[in-house]
Amino acid sequence: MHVLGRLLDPQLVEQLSRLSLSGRRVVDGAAVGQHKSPVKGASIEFRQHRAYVPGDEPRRVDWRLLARSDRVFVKEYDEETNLRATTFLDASGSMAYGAPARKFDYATRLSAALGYLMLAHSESAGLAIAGSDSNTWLAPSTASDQLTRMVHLLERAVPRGATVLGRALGHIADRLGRRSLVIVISDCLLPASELLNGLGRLVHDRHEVVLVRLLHEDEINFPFQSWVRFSGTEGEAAHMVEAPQVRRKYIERFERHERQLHEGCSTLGIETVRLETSLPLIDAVTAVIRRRRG
Amino acid sequence: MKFANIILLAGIFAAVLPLILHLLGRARYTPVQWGAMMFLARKPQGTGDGYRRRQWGLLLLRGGAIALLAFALARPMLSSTANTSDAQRLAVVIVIDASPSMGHMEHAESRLDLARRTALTVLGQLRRGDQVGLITLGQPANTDVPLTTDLQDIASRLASLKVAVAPATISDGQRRAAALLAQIEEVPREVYIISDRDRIAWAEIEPRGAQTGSARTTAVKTIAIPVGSTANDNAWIESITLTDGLPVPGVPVNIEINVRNGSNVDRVQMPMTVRDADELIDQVSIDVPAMSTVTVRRRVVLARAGSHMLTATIGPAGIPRDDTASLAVDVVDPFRVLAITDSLDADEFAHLRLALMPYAVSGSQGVDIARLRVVKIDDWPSLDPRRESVVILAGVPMLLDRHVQALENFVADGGGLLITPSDRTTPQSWNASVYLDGDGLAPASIESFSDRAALAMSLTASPLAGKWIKQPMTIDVQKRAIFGDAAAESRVIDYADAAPMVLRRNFGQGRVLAMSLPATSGWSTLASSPKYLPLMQSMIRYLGSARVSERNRPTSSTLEARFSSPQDRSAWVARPDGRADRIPMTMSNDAGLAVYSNTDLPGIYNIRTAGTRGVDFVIFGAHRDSALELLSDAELQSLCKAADITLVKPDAISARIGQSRRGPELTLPLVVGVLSLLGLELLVAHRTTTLRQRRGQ
Repeated sequence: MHVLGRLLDPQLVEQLSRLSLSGRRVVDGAAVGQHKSPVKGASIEFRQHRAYVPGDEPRRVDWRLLARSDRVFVKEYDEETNLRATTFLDASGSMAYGAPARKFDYATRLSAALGYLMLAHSESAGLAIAGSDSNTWLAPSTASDQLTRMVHLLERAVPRGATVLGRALGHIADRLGRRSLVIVISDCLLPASELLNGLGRLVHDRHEVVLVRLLHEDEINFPFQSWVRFSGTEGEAAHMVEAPQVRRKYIERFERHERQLHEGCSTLGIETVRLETSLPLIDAVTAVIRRRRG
Repeated sequence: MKFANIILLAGIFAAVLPLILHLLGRARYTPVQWGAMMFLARKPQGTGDGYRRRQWGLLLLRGGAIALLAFALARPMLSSTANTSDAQRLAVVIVIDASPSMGHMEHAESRLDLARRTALTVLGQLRRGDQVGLITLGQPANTDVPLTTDLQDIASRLASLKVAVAPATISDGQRRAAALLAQIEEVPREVYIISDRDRIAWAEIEPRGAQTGSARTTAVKTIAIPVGSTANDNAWIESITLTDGLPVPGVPVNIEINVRNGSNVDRVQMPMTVRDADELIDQVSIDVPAMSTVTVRRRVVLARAGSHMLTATIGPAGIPRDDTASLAVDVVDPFRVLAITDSLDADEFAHLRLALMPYAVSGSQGVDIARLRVVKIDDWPSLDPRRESVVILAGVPMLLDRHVQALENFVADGGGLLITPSDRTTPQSWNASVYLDGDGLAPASIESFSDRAALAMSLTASPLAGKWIKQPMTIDVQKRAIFGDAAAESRVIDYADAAPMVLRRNFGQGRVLAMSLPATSGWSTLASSPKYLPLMQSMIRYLGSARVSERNRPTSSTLEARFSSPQDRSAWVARPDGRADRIPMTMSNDAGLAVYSNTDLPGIYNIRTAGTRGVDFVIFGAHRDSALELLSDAELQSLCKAADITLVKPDAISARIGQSRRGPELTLPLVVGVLSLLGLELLVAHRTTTLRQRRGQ
């Protein structure tokens, strides 16, 4: 646990210990856990019959039904499995905004907390960090050193470059394979359509997706006064404005973007959580967990 | 175009201040590394061409307002004439009021001091080449200083200016100023009238259009600069009079001093002094309620015979000029009274002797006003007014012609004669000896003698003025002479039944009194009444002062001074206004008579000739300025407006002269322009904000 201590303070860890994750949907899992697995097989809970096809195990044939109806069916059962959760962290340049703590710092701590929470409940936890240059991928696992690997990755991650979130989400979907819980942590400062495309790919692959939008309060309220020279963190051209004069328009655009995002996510069946960096981390974790519990 | 404060024109560079502030604001921006660039419009609506135009418009309006304000503060003036050299010259006449009201003290300095300072301010605004004249109101026109370029000379004259005694009128100043400016036409001309708000001075101001002469026709501008406050805080001595006739040395004499408080504030414990020349002979503190007159009665003693000048002084109380009043007093040696009688009774004159010589009779220490000598008619003395002041013809028997002739000569030469009846007097003897059908000494005939009666008598005329006689007294009359018809002006004392008791008449240079009762005891209780002494003393003073000319006269009186054996045939009159007039003397035998009648000013006039101290006269009369009726601001404005006079406050002199020199000042229109620009700026700024809000910016 000393590795986790580099990102999370002991008090937060203690608070996390009292929380638990529960899947709103059935997820695939490699280990027996407290979540139902969508994989039908020999398990304790009967699900349905289906016609026998060559290759089916003979032991799954329902012999009693064969005797009564002279037709060969095999039994299918719901299998209890563990939760596979992957935290997807946006490491674009815009996540570097904020002082003294940047959004990205907050996001790394939130990712670590979620990872810890899952692993503490014998769930599989994975991590994906999407930067402009390269993507970092840690496959979900319940291994004992999984948390250590996650923390190392998070510590090394640097937010920079343009947001390539849509494309990165597609790459993650390719790697995820079995259905998982995907927690996307991002400021979502990219066109809504681009982001929704990436999220749609995950949903299409039947992953459960929770979108955590992490923002600094300046990005919400735009409180700047007088003249401000905004330099883009993702390579955009600098913009000199008299802040009070553009505030109203900024907020209007911000809200329109958020509305598009929210509507798109609703259509996709994606839960969204908006967090501000001023929010205590335990409250942020709770909000994510609660949202996922439905 | 000229500027009064050209240095302030540099402020016009401040017009770029809004632009600088704008650029500074841009230069001092806050750099922010920003992620949400997607929400910042690449070209905000607020920075569109329209917006930029409005913003630049606002900048121009703000800069223009500042530039215009700087321009206004520099006080530009339009040139009044195309000729620059003429525009730089002025012809100015300063009319400064030095009338007595300008002596009113305000905060340790007089209004004249304020006026002098104001005049020097006017002078200080003039330049080399300007011409200036000086008129002092309160002084005659021949003291006017004609136009000169020697400003220093005018300044020196202003410095030595003193409050005059003569009243002044603004209209007089206007006329005199017009005369000074009449010969100047090429340069702007102005008359600066510096005066207080004395209603009397402004009363005769000439209304617009009524002004005549070249000053009007050549459009001389008249500027009035009022100085001093509207306080009317003044108290003054209205009069000082002697109530007991001619005094004699060492005998107390009563004087009455009337003090008027013309202000709305009571004056308490105001000091008053009475001086005989430089010698303080009396002092007292008096209370004078607001807007009232107090009569102060004092008893003073003048030790020596001769001419005295008593001066009463109060205060200081407002205008110094009327804080003092003078009274010329002639103190004469005790009157020598000669009683001529045909009585054989030695005690008949005991009462009269007691009345005229109370100290001598009683053996007390004191000075009697007269010395009485009684002679019998058989011992008829030679009569000379230089020896005897008064002759009492006590009981008129039938007089011899030489006696009548001697008496007439005596009175004609200035002696006094009191004629009284006695038991031995008959109407025939009276009328034949002293009346002579009106040609004699007696002012009236005697028709008869009446029976006993208790009658009151009262004073009806003033020669015997004395407070004792102003109240009627009652005496028991057993017998009295009934006078024939007497002119009203000859009546001095009447009985209650309107019959005359005492009559008077002037004969030559002398005076005659006729009494219907004996001067001695008998016929009535008069001699034993308490009023007998003052009555007899007053009559003796009256009769004995015929040779002494009255030196206290009302204004416009004719003054006469006689000089024996003068060295010169002319005399000098020193007037209260400081002027000295030379007058010729009329010679008669060895004596010279100087007559002077230009006595319109109250004050002391001294007529003297070479080798003499001269004779002082006091001309009394009301001081015109004493009441200090001052015009209010509104009244003064109305008056000046009607007379086409520009009213200027002392602190605005510089601007006024600058305006005259260069033409009208443009400050006010420019300030209006500044306010208009600011209003327009507010309008544009409001519209810009509204548009921005409407567009959601």
